[in-house]
Amino acid sequence: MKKQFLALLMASAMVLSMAGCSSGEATPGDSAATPSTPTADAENKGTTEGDTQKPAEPAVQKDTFTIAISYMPNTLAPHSGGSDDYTSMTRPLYDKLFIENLEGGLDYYLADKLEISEDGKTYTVHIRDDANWSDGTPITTKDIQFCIDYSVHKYGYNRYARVNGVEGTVNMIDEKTAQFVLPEAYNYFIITLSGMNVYPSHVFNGDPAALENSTEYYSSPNFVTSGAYTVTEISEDSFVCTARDDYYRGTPQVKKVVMKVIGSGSTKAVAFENGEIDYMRITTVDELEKYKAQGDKYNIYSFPEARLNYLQVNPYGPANLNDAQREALFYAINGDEVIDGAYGTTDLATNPNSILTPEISLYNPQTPDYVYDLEKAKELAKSSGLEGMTLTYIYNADRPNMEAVAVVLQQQLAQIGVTLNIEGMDSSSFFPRFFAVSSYGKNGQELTWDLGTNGWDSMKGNTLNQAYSYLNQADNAWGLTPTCGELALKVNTATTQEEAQKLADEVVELALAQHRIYPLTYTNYVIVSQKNVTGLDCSPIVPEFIDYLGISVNG
Amino acid sequence: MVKYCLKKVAQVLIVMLLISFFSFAIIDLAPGDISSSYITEDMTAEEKAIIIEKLGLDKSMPEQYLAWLSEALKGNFGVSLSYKTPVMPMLTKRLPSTILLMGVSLLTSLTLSIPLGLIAGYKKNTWVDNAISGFAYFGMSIPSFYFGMLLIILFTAILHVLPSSGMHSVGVNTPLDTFQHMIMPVLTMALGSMASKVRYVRANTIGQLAEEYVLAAKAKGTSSVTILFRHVLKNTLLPIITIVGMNMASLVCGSFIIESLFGWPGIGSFAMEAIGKRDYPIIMAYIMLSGFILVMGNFVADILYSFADPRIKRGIDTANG
Repeated sequence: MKKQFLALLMASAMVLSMAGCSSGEATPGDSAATPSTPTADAENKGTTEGDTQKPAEPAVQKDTFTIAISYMPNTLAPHSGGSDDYTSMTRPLYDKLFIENLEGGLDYYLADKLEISEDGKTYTVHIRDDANWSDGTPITTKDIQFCIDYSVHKYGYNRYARVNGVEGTVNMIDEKTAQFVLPEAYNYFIITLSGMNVYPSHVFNGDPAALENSTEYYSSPNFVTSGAYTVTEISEDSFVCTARDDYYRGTPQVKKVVMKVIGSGSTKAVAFENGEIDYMRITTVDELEKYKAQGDKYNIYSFPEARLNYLQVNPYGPANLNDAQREALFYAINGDEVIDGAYGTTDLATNPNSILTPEISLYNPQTPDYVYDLEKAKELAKSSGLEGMTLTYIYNADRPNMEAVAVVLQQQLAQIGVTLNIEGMDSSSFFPRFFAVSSYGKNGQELTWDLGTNGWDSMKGNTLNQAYSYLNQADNAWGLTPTCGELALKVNTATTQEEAQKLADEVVELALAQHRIYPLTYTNYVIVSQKNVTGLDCSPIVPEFIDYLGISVNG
Repeated sequence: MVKYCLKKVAQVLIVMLLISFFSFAIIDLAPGDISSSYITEDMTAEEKAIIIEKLGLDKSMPEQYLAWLSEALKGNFGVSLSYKTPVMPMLTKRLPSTILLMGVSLLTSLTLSIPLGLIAGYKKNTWVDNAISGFAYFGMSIPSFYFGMLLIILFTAILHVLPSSGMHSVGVNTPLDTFQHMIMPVLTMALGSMASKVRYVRANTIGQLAEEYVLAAKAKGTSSVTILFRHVLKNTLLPIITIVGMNMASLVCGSFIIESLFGWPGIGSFAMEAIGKRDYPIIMAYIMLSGFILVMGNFVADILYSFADPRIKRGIDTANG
């Protein structure tokens, strides 16, 4: 009897445990084992699966859109963030002047016009006549001036008119027009302007120090915002954004956006399936297949993340790989297998050919890609002395799929006799190590790794974007020849698109020829939503969602 | 007794100083710092230098430690590097949530573990004992995050009866709603701590049941229940006092895992976030708070011992004159 009871108890525990094992959570390892299902168009420019394109049946408008957040911020100040999570949380609250869209153009928000002079030195921004703060005060150039004053307070100079250490001027033409005069043509300035946070000067009486110490102001409801929503409730684990009636771009269909802390791990998937949140991001093929199969319950949205993940060979690494060794490494990498093994489907990522993404107007689809040739890799590895070497490989474990990519590369390079010691770490540890030379003044950590994977996000618009800082490397951070930097500078000061394109092609090809950087993936941002949620791809910019006006939640 | 208490207080101060120094050193030695949240590759060298200087990261570790210590001694635990606000108000803001969760978990585990331990000891080597011991081993063996996930799958994903995360439903602020949100984290917390308590109480019960006073009570015709709950119970509580004393720190400082898993807005998840950002003023305040309460918990347990067992008090008085 005793034994029977114990056996029953153990069996119950095991059944419960098995239930836990078979939850919806999938690991990168799982996806590696799953056959790929290449269904996406490689040049996918934003697709919605499910029935979102069908005309919606007349439905009762539900007024709440609930979003999972990973932590409860202590403040919602526009200048307190930096992480993608925080940017997403504050998207409904603050508008930018404009943002670069995925087609190379601009989507205007607080501004309605940007004029760039022919010599590329003068940027004139016009603020919409009806742009207003949530307390009714018009948004004017006084608020732009306040941003500039805050920059001077914080950094000691105006970063909104400074190019290569030389400061230009900013003229407030009238209440709605600001003119930025740069010391030289600098195409990258459009990114600087599109990232500008506009602060309410009238709230802080124009005092930048008061803005610096505004945590308390931005942690209580009803602080002044420029976006479509204001914060009306803040509790220990959530905050509620309520649609503004006087928002200058119109009234959002969703009346309340709730940002709620949801536990880590698979809790988010359970909360989504339980209807507690309205959408979540998908990063594995198992999740994708699972939700695709339930098209009657969920919508799947997919759009390019405008992100390039790449492999970097560290010029300061202990192995100090020479040209032939680097070439051997790159011949041994099979890009398609990386996608297949680490992502499982081209719906989640595609194989890149360039260090620019297709969302950048200077991207050239004809840029010659690295060729996979295992036999040549083996020969070169042997002749160059690479065979038998052990290399240290680092990656950011906070980024999805990076561990799986590392494992695939480890297997591929093992075929040419190279052993990879893989080290994953969180962002706070990764960045000072990966950017030890370029951002941390050679802190010694540049000597501790040979290969590393990193990603550039928001790679869109009409400039080289993040590739500019890379090519125009500080302190020879990435081992490229100085010509790359000179060409990148020329791209940034080119006054015609043709000239910029020619120079961009030249510099990209030159950089790739040096076998320092291997483009690994262009990633897609795939999200699954409840069936009644539509419009999540109305402005497909990551971090989500830049434009809440297109989102609706039907009852 | 007073001399003993003063000696203990001195020990507490030394231990706290050592905790603070080693914690600070470990944080300093850990790879990375909070500047990675602010520095981007497109910033100029000047901008990067200004940020590092403003964060105080240009100073050496001893300089940073002494600056922190001199302020901490005045009760000022500094300003969060990520939030730019004083640390203590942020911690105290989250304290009630943690105390609520941990307090209820502790009460639940005590309420269940003491009678279960007594019964297991009383029914030694029977199927009842085996069942309770099996349950205790299960509780000790299963990782809390895994058990928590099982509960979420069962009660949220399958049965749809409990919310998966958080402390309140949005817009609802009733005790019933908070109670519903607490059920799974409390069960998860209680199971782990209950298991060890059951084993302690069981072992003590078996020892006490062999004592002569139990035999005398039986001879007088006292019922088993009265013997167990009126006489044996008192004498089995000593190890429980120690365990509760040790648990005092988690009562106030929460649990990284449980709070993160269930999205509970307490001090544990807050500290977890600070560790991710390398926000050392918050991490240090958290460590000092948990270290202080742990040391004080043991101190209080020692004092309570003397009340639970007068023989201990007599021993302390003799040893300390």
